[in-house]
Amino acid sequence: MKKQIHLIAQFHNIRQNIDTGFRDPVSIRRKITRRSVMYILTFFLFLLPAFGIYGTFTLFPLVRLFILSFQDWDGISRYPKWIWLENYKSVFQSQDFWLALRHNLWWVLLALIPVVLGLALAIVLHQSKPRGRNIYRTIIFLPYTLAIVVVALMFQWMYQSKTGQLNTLLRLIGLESLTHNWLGDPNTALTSLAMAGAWGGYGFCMVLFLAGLSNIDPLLYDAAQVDGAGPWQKFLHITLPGLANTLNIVILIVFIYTMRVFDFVFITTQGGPIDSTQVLATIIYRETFKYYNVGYGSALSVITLLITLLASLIYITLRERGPK
Amino acid sequence: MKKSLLWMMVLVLCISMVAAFSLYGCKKEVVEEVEEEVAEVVEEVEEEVVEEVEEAQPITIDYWENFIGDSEAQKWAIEQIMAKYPNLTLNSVNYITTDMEMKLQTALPSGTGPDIVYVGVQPSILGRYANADLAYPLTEGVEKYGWDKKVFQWAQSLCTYKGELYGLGHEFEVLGLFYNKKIFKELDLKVPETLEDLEAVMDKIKKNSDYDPIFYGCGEGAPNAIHMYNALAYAYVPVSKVMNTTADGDGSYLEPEWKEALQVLERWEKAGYFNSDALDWAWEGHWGSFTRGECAMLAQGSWLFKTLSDSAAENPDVLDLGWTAFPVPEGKPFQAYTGVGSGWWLTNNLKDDPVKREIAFEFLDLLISDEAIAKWVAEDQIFPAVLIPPEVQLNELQIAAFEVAERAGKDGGGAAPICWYNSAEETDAWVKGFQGLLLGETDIDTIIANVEAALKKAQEEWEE
Amino acid sequence: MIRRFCATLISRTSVYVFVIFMSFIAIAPIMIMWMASLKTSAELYINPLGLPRYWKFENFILAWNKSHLSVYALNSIKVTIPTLVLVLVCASLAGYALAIFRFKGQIIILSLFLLGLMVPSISIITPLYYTMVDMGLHDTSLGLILVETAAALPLSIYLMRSSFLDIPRELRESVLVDGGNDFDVFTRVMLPLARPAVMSVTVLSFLQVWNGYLFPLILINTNELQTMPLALSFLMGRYQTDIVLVIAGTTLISFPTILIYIILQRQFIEGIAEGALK
Repeated sequence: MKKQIHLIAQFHNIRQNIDTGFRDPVSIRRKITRRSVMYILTFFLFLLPAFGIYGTFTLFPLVRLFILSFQDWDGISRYPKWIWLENYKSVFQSQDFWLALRHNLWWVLLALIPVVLGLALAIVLHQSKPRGRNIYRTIIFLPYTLAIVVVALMFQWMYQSKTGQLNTLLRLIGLESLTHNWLGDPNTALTSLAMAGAWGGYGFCMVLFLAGLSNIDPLLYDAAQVDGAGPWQKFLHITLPGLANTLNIVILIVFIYTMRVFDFVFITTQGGPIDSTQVLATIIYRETFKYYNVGYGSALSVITLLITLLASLIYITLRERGPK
Repeated sequence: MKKSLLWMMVLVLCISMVAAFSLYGCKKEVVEEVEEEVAEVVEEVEEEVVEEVEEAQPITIDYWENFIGDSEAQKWAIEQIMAKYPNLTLNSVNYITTDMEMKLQTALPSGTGPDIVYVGVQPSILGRYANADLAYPLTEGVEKYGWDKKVFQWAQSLCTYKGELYGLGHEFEVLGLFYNKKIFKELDLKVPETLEDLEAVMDKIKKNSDYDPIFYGCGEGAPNAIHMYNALAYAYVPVSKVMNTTADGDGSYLEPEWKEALQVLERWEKAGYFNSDALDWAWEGHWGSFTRGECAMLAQGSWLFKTLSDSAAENPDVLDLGWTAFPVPEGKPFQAYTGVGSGWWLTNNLKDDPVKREIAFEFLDLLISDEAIAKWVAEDQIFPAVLIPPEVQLNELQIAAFEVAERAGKDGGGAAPICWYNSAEETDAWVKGFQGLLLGETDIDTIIANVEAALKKAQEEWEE
Repeated sequence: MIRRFCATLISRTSVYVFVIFMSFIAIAPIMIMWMASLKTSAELYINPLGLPRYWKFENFILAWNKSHLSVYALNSIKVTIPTLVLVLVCASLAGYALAIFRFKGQIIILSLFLLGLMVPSISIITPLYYTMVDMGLHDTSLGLILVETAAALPLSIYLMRSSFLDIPRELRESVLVDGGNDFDVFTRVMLPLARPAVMSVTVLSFLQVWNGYLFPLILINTNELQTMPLALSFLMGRYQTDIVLVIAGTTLISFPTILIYIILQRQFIEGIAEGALK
């Protein structure tokens, strides 16, 4: 990257450090203000394609969703009824909403496992440099490339209690006592699903962390070595701070995608058994498409959006204001 | 100054875009209403022009169905109708039921989507769309083809909403009991004739062998559990009460017989007559345990005849397929669930197009014509809800099914599939109940209370 | 000395054990699925873990034919490539605009773009469908392309913007002072430097569009326009009684992604890595 910048700078025939003194400051300012109209226009032109498509196909439906959340509609009759905040009240009063929210948050907690695993793998691959590390990198990233439908189905077959591969394996190695009805027991169903999700995700986290690690200056490690720092101290004081940015991004992405998880649960357990795997998105699906309660589903969607947005904004602000 | 100007212009851009599209959307709705009134006037004029126009323009009919397996009879009907009308393209698309219900809900209210649908005909599906004027009544077809004399009366009343016939019921089905003749011979068991016999048989199997006496599937959606409860409820609850405990009726689940049936289910669970992995099995493949010879019986109906016969043919040394009526308690009149699985109905997209409507009606008639019936029975092992012409050969299982239906007769044969009929909320309450009962997390009274609440809600909504 | 050697040996070995174990976990379920698709239905239950006895390759052919996979695969390509192009163009332009033209209210626009990620797709599918109908774009490939683009834009814009933020301002100013306009800056300076971000956006959007299920399901009504994940749904519906067919179909559908991934793995991984981190 640095080399390219150097070349381009040479191409434009200027010095690396622009000396504001070598051109007349007034003329520069005049040049820039003369362009203020162009400035604004360019900004809009650049933003327009993205905002046009996004505005029409995401923002506008969101607006309609917002409007729907104040209505009582079954989705197929002609005229919805306006009931204002009734839907929101029902959502907060319903047990299922809080149950689903708890499940989502539990899943977010469990989603930290692939993050940690990815981090560990990245550090190991980066610093110990085992032979064939590229092969390992490739294999570990493989699960992320599969469609969610495929992963969900695979794990549904593997988790079956009598004929599933997981239990069969446990029986083979003599751990019969550990066999379990993974997806059928309300106590283990959600965690089993989260583990399946982790399987798909830890390769993705690893790859992101690997790149972050490559941005840390190796000289820092050498300096620390000279100072007599042990591996744990090196990790705490060099690696972690250097990965702060990456950690931000990974945690944010993991959080957002876990709050909106749907396909996984829908294809495997559909929220059961006895509502033990209901998440916000499956409740929204159930209310909108099975119970024909579109207004309620919309209100729940808006609430989900607000929760996710608020949490993300709080996290971003906290991290940006925190210690550098 | 420059920056705040920028900011304001951005805001204005956002708002104007949103406003533009919402105005565009609203305008469309107003225009549509005006168009409707004009269309009604035009329709009468169009009727006369229909004959000439039929030949000329290319016509596309969209048909969505949720059949399982290659349905030969349907393929034949599609070929026939496309051969007769060379300018017709009949697009048939297959969706699983959950996908189909989602798509219907988004497509039909906006005037897009299919013209003919094959999916459920109960109040929770067809009833809703009929009430919302999104389904088209079949009155014209009835008049032209005489369906009211051909289709079973009870099948017709199942699909009648707002006084008109809206659906053509199909997949006439009977719920009974599959059993493995091989296991029965091995343990020297007799086919149970009463419910007490059945319990004795299950007890004997459990005590004298490793086989699971009867299969119970209670996973996602708990379909097999629902069938099991269906069978038990029909054994205990008088059919007249069953037919009244519906969204468009005024019955109640607090009647004692519903509870009795649940208590039998609980008793069987506690006695260990069920397999240990009940919670793993949704619908797909749940009969596997039975076809592999691991359990002796399976409470299912004629809709599985083809699948299980095929399995039995593949593994004759493991499964010798038998089917019998699900027994009722000693002394009670014989009752059985006989109903229709799904049915065809027309959507409101045909409202303005008499040409398409004509062809659609003809297509429906083809699907229940005598040649089609022969194919349904022989190749797909599905029965239409019409009188089977005598020349059609029935195999052993099918004859047994019809015998059960006849035995149940007019007073003992019910056509409402319990748990699935009224609303998705009620179905979910039942599923939660069955799963909870198995896990020991709930009790019968709670289950009854929950389903009763859901039923009352559905009944209230029906009144509106 | 010897203690040091043992310590290093233990740590090296544990490194290998850890990495090999995680790789095994990553690939084991996939191998199990491949093995399963070569078995017969009956064998699947008797022998879940072992090698197939009969190696029924015809499962694949059956699954391919019955689900008309060729049509769906072609449609997936027809939808994914235009979407990628559109996403790249829009996201890089917008990312540039948001990175360069800083002003106080920018956080509002950024938040607006992030809103799309915050809500599950199932929520907006109904209003989205009605919007598509109003515009006449329902049941068209173009409509699906536009919707998938809109869905892929938030993350892409975020990535492109982060990448552009790292490029020194002096470069832009030098081009401007030399008499160029911002578009010149964009094409000649920014885009070449942001190549890693471009790769990462391509990779992530490709995976998202290729594997997307909900939008094609609801927005497309004609079979001829449907994409590949829906073929799986079709198999599950029609042929659910033959579970091995479904498994074979699942394997077939995951083949293209795995193949493309293996061929382009360098770009895949490096793209995500470098692009995401700025």
